[in-house]
Amino acid sequence: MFKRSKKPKITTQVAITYNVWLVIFCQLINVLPLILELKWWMLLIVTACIAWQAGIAKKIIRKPSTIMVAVLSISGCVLLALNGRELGLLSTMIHLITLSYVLKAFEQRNRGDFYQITMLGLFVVVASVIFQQSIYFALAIVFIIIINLTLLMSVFSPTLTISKHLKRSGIIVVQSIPLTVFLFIVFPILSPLWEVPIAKSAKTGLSSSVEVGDIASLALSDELAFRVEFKGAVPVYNDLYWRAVVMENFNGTAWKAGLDSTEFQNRRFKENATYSTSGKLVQYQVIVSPTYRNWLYGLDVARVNQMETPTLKIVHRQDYSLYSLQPLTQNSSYSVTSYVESPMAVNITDHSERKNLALPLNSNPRLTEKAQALRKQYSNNEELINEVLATFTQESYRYTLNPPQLTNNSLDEFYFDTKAGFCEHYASSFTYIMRAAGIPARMVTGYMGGEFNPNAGYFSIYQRDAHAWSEVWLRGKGWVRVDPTAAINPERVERGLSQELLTEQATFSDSAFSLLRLSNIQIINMFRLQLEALDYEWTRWVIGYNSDKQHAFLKDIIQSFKALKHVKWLTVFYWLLGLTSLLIIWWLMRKLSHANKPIDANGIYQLLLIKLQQHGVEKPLNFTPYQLSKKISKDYPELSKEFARFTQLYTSLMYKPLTSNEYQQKFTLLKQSYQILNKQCK
Amino acid sequence: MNTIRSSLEQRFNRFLKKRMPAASHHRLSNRNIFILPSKFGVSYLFAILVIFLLGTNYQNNLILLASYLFASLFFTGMLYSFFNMSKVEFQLTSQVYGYANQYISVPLKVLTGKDRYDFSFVFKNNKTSHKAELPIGETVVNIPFYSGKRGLHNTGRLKISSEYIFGLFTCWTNLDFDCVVTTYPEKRKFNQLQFINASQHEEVNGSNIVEGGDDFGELREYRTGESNAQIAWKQLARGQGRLTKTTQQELGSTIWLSLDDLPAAPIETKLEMLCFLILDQHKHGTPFGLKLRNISIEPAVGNAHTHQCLSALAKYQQPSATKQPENKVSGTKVHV
Repeated sequence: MFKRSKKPKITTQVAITYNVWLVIFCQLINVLPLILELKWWMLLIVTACIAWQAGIAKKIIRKPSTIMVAVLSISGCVLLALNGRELGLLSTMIHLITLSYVLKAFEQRNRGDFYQITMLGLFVVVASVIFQQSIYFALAIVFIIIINLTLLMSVFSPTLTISKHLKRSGIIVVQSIPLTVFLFIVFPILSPLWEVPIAKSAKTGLSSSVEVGDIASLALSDELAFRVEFKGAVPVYNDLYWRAVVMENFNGTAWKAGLDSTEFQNRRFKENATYSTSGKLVQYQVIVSPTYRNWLYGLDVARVNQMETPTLKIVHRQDYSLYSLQPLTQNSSYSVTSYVESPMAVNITDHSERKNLALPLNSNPRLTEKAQALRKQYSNNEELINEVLATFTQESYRYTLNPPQLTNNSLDEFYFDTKAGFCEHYASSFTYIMRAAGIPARMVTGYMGGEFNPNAGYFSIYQRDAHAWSEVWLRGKGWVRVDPTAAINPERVERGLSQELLTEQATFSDSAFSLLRLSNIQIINMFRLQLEALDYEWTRWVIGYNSDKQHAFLKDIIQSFKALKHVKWLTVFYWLLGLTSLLIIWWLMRKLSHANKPIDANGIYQLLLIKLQQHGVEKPLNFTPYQLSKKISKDYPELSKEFARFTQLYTSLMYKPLTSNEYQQKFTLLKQSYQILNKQCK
Repeated sequence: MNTIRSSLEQRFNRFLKKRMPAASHHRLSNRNIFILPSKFGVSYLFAILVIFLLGTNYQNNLILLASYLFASLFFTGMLYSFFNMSKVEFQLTSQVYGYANQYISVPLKVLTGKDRYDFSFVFKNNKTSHKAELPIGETVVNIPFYSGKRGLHNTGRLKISSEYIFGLFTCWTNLDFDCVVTTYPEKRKFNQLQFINASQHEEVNGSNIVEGGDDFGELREYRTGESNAQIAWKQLARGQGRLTKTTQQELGSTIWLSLDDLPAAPIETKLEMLCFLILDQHKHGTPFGLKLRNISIEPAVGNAHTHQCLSALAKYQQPSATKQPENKVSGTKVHV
């Protein structure tokens, strides 16, 4: 007869609200750390998408249709597929995740979409850490994570302001740090579970071939190459020749290291380079910055203490250089013992001798002629060498980072005409002359010297310390280092780049501003060294923390607990101190966050109501404060007097127009009254 | 499958009954708060695992640190979620009234010592009421409850949940307030009944004066539940307190509403008709009485009387669902 009204459908999910601008800002800063790793067209897409979203938020542009988004994502994928080979697998995946991150923002409809975006954002941020690990970068990442948390939190407490959210998420991150550190120290560090695509970034540093001009251009960079911490005695500055690559093949223009992939399989890297363990030795730990190449550094004769570390598989090459079978994609460390007094290869094989005498026909005829003339003049090898070095000092040769261009990299042209060059010019010509004169000789590249950081007691070696020198084989002595630079620019091998060279370096370098340039200003230099020391400790203890260190560390702790006799009381004390101070900081922060909350008369009134309720007094919803006061005077006479005063103060604070002075006075009284009532309620 | 589910549910309900017995007042603590990762929380955990594997495979300590940081945030977030819920106090009046087949709001009093966020309140199979913030002090939240059929209904457990702080955890509780909704018959219009109305007048002897009607009578102190239209606003504004304007009316035209005098129709429809008539009389302020089979309510006017009559309709031939005697009228919200 009558139609019954049906129960309306229920939507269980609460609609989600968030600040659109915060989402856009989040996207922007999440992609920012990857800016160096993304291709220009990807950056274009990202910028366009973010600008589009800003347009939507400002209501200038409409939301793109589903088809539009599909077209965008497909074209992005096509671009990726086309560039895939060049990018490499890892980079392609990072491009893909970034693309989906910025495109996903166009289809935010419900809670799930929002969560997906947040999650993708976190992945994008974390992915950037594959490429950079400095302490500053890490701090920036933490800040970005805080921003992301702010966004997430703003969804669940939309009534608070952004600055409150920011503060709160900052506090939460700080509170989470102790557990993070604990997990980091204690959680087992596993070895890689499966092979992953390695980062295919631009290679930096010394390469396995060198032409004249290469080192000079490398020396314009202020980037860090590696750091060294010596255990015990430190060699003098002009003994710090860090060998990296030894080049035995010369094709007329470029020197190349003998290297082909079959060499690894043929086990020619097997240790057959002779050395003697007698004499002085130097021990040190090297932390290399990623170069995406395989060469490692060491002082002669370098022997690695542990061939396999989590990130490196090191081999000793026959030419006394150190080589990692995997390219250096991240900061890695290894420890070395160098037998500095040991001769290298006293006996040379025929094969090696032939190789180190070989010269391409007619490559530099004038130099060959000169060498043959010298050979006739000097039968003694040492005398011949000294004569060649003397030429460099006596004649008008110039040592410069900006030598004139040579046609076809002709050494003839350098030696006889331009007479201006950097270390590799001299080393290259010298080696050429030696070979032409019948002395086995080869090119060695590496680094020279290093800057001592007194704050943390280690040496920093920068790319600008890149160097090239020569090695000649002398009967009875083996391979002997000859550095022509020492003849032409002795200052370089005594102290490093001279002031003129530094000025040149600053002029021709196109790299960004660096504090290293301002090292002559005392205070800036101190500041820089302090920052670098911080970064060094970070690299050593955080980036370089591995399963061995973990094992040793935990063993140390367990041992100290086991044998209470040998407890390192000081260590325990430090731990306790650290933990208690953390607790105190946490407590203070809590206190502060409570203290900062301004409480008004109404707040105090509500607090009192809660107290009263615990006491058994309940305020019916429709009661006025006055009625409540009457009720209390009836039911709880012991409270009545103070409560009447409280109510009177409260109502006058709430409803009477008061000057700020009067207000303050009454407010203090109200607080006092609250304290009294609070006590009485107990 | 279904039977397993229902038996599990029964078990859970028994567990709830034991652990969180019915009361009109609840205070949240670890005794009655449940907390589990939400769907987002589970996928977040999965993401942490992926990041951990990424860090392990790349032997990258910073990525590992990031995954540990996310894991710690998960833990800290859990604590924040819990503390957002705990120590909140709730009070629900045990008696609520409303008409059938409509959403009635059940007022829940919330007391908290600090600001709380993202609270959802829902009775089973009902609309959710969401509060983004519960400020420090006392708040009243109106929770919708679909009244359904005429009669007495227990609202069942009230689910209170929050996903603050990051949505990683759902923190919830199921509280039993033992709240009974007295559902009046559905509010519908029966315009033809007005004619019957006219024939129901009865002569009453005496010159009793009954409150109600259009002529102004006197001012007396306000009683809870009286209509706002009757409040003497002028006097209130002058600070004389809340007074009620009464109107007086000769009791010459008292009406008896009876089930037997209605046209033939199913019993539910008849009750709906009575409901309509009662409201009609209430609107006009005419005194009326109600006669059901074995119940008879003496003629009177006013809100309390109307509610008494409507409650009689609600309970007519219904098993009593109440566990508590209904004597509390104050503090309820009634739609008239």
